[in-house]
Amino acid sequence: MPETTSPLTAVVSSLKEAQRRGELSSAELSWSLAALTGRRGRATTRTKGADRTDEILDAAARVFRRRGFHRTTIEGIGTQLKLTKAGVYHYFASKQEILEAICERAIAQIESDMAAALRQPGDPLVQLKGAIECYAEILIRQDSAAVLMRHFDEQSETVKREQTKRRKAIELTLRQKLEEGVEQGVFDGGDTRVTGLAMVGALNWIFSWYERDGRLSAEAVREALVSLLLDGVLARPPD
Amino acid sequence: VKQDAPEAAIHAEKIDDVLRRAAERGDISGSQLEWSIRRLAGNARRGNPRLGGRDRRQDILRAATTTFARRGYRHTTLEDIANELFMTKAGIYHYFSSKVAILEAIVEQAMVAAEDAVATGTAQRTTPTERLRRALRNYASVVLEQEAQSVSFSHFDELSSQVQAALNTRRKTIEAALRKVVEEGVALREFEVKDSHIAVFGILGAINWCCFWYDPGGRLSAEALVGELIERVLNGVVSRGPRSSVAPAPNHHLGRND
Repeated sequence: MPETTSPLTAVVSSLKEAQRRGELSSAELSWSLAALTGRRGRATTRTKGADRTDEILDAAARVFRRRGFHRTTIEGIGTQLKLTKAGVYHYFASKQEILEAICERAIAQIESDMAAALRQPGDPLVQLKGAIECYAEILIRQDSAAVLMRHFDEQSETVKREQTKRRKAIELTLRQKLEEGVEQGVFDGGDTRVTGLAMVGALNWIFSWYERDGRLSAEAVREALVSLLLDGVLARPPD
Repeated sequence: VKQDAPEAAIHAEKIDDVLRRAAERGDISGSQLEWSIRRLAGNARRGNPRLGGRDRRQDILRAATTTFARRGYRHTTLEDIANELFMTKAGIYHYFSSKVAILEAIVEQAMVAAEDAVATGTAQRTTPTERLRRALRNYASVVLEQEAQSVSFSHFDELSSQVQAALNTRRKTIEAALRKVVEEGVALREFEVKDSHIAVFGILGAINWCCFWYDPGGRLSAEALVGELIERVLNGVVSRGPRSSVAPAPNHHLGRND
């Protein structure tokens, strides 16, 4: 055969590039790759396919959060959706690939929600508050974010490296906002790197204690955490 | 023309340097380096150098902690741990029945250390502010200075459910001790929090997360980091003055657990 390079190579790599730039979600990427390479036969039901991928990721995130990654099987994920094991394999090559897509989705959401919050009009305090509120909100409500925090290490080295870069970039935006606030006198000085990481840590840790049917509503949990991070524990003078 | 003598001279420091570079590259482990240097200097006897007259069980736990931290639990074999100590696998089995038994012992010790650290701090006879500060300082020092803590945070899922349950009990003891101080501080109007449970979870998260990013060789000493973290937790980030939070806290207690 003279032709050794598949005509798809360039398409595939440009899709992957687009995903890296954040223009496509990983679910969209894996769906289009599966469709293009014929793994899923003819690509007739585009949205249906993408929806299915999302459904699998939602179900898997729910099960991983509840039972843990290692104790979950592909069958277990399929059962949630009345899919067979083969049905799940149609969309994802392995349990690890599912985990990686879940983590990717969580990071992408944190990135976009935080960026939006930090762009809000207002002073650094308003913007920082908005940013940590939506970070907390994602950690509280999204199974995928809890899975990201709990099972980050189970991903492949390449994926971890790439995601670590993006998580550091998220931390950096918080830190820059802190510095802006220090300059304007709304925030106390101190080591902004430590402060930023302390905030992120307090929020990331939500995964290890938050219970959906606990004593407090999701809003109350978020409010209490944000108030701790902004105002600390020590009483302040009244207005 | 042969000049045997100068050539035969051995520059021990060169060999040490070679070994140090190998250790930096990760080709040999820290304990292998340490032992080889001692051995080259004639300070270690043949045989099982790491273990002479020491507590072998603790040696195994220490070596396993380092190896788990470096490679991850799943990628570590009992041979890796044995090699680290110049022991055989059978030698390890003498002390521990399995890899998971080693992990469990590490995690258990780490939690006991954390619990003691908090208990010592909260037992002081002083103001809630000072007690909270000391308890958190003790706890954070244990978390940052003992690799065992980060090993136990990252490998919780590998433990059996009985061990997980036992650890959760210890975790709850730590949380309850801190919560008590927070609540006393609130009663005395030294503290102001929207919810003492959530405040304690948030504080512990800020400290625990350090395990994943703190670099002991970096710009910040563990002591400086602990100090900085605790002041941040106590004071918050908003410049001191009236609280920034919106509206007075509504009654969120919905009557579920706790």
